[in-house]
Amino acid sequence: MKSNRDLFEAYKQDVYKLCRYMTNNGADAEDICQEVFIKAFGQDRNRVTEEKAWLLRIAANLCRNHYNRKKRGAHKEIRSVFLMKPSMPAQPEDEVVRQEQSNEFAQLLEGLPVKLRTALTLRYGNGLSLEEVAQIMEIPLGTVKSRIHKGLALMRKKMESQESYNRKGEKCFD
Amino acid sequence: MTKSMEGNLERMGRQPLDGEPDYEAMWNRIEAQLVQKNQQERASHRGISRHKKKVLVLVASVSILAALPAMAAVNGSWDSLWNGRSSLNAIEQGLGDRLDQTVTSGDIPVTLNGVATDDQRMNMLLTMNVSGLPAYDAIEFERSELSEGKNKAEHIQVQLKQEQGQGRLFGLATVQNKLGEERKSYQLTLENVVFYQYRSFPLDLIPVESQDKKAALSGTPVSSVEMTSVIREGNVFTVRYKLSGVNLEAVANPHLVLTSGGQVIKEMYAAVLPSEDPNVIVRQSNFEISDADLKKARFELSALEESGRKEGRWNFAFEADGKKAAQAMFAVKLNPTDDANDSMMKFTEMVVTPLEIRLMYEEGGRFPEPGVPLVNYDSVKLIVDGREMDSGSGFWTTKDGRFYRRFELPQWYEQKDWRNVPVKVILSGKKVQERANKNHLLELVQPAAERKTVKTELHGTSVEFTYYKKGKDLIVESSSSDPSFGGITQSYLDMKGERKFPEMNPNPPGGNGTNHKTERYVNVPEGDLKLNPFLYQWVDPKARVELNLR
Repeated sequence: MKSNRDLFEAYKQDVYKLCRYMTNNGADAEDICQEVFIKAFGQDRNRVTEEKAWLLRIAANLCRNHYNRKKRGAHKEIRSVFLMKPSMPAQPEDEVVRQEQSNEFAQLLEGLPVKLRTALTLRYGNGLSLEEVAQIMEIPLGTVKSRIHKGLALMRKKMESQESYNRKGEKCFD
Repeated sequence: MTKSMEGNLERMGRQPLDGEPDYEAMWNRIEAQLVQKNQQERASHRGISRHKKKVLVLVASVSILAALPAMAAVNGSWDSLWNGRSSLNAIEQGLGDRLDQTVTSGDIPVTLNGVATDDQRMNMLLTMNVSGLPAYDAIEFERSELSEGKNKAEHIQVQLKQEQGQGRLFGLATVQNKLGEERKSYQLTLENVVFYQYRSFPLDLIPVESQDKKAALSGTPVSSVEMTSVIREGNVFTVRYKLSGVNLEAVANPHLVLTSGGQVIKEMYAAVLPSEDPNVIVRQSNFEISDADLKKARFELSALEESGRKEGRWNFAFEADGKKAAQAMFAVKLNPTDDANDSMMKFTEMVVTPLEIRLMYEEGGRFPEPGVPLVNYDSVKLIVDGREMDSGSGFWTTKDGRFYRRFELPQWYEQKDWRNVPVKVILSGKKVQERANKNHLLELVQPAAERKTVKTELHGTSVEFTYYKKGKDLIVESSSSDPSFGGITQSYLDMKGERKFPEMNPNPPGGNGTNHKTERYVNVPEGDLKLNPFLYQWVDPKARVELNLR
């Protein structure tokens, strides 16, 4: 069994990537990523056979909880105080919520329902197979396919509305 | 969907993220939180961890009982074992299974009295008649396992307590409940009762002169002790040390003991810090001791060693039914506007199981913002139908990451309609974490070997910072004479808009008994520096919040 440190080193980027695409906010993603490993290290992982899937499942659950909290407006989002952005010294560091949309994929995910967003992020953001996505989300394969399909349909509409994605002769149909 | 769209998405997903975090800093924060969490869980559990697979139980240990919720005194039985009374009540109310199976081995009868469950735990109540028990500081079954069907047996945790003046032990074995609403058959196996006593070994180390000193040991279960930090502040003496070459098969809980004039100076707080090597234990301890006593104090190494055993093997076969317990559980949603309070805890639900009451809450925020502090309360008491229950100092989390406080049931309210039971929560022991504004900068003028001080005000309290250089490192010591100031959690140096943080230096939960903090900034440049107090705490022991949840 890997040590805590080895586990962190092996999967920190996969976990952060999922959190980042799900929250579209670097500070929130960092908070949640940290929380994922704290929770994971507190659990008995003697019976965990697939560590990556297990960690991403914890991450997906925490991201979903975060999304639900934001949606209810129960808590003001608190920016990570340890976030250092040397490349953006002019940014006001006390801004509570800042959307970071420089990544194309993140732009397409923005606004999608959380279940579709999770499936799409795991599939295309983390590069997992449909079977792996089903395992992590603990839903049937058919449901994964359905969510991916619906999510892609919504994404397609977004893409078609952006001129750079309109190519002659390549319109997608269901 | 065409393949080109999928290809586009796969390409986009492979794009590097804009600004990945400082993973090393993240790892440091994770380690610090694990230390804190570990200490909070130890305060709520009854036992000492020998290594990952075994747990020892201290008998009549004040430090463990201090974390237990207050209960009315009753006849000696399982009452002083956590969840003991609730488990017994559940069995007597018909929500658990009364078993009363007795197995004798090596002339020692052990009785499995009954089993009680809720959605999370399965508790088994035991008694053991043993005459002529030796004196001991800790006790355990050498092997305690539960198996179900053909599944692999799993190690289970067993609390044991001796009934005063009698040769009888009361035991409570706990395991994660995997019953659901089914009825399943189990095998419980217990082997050999082992007794332990602390054994001391003198050390050639004078506490006040021990900074950076190392003592080699021979004929002991630890090969060396290295003192990595020794700090004296007021009447508190704090040490951090490393025990190397620990023989984990021979001993448990090795640690330093401070003695003076033949008396043991009790630890105020202690923390076991992270160590990658399982045979190296890193530990920090705080002692409250006068200057006169510290002058003549000495260190000893202490560790639990086996002092006796009763051989035997006891096997039990029984069935447990999860349905009764599942049907007896109640969950009551709480109105957020009723429980609005200034703390991070937003109470969402009260769950009543045959074994406990859980007060579920959401925790708002992780870090404070300037002008938006994080408020916590050490003590959470529940008053149900006029009866007061204390949750102790620990908090718990469910598998899906929800927080809750646990309360032991004084009696089972089977006949009550929980929808109408009045519930009140009392919060006290207020602790506030605040964050200084980024412009709150203190000038550190030409730090050098001699000590200099600068003062500032935080939350209306005067706080003094003493700074000096040790080689290329900057040491910053902060403190206040105002007892309401809880101390600096972490400061930083403002280096032209970028932050330089000090080395990680965790305090045990609850602090070290003072508001003094020492921070080390490694390899700082020469010249004037700017220090931001950043995160700090203050306390208000008199603050009390009463919430009518129902």
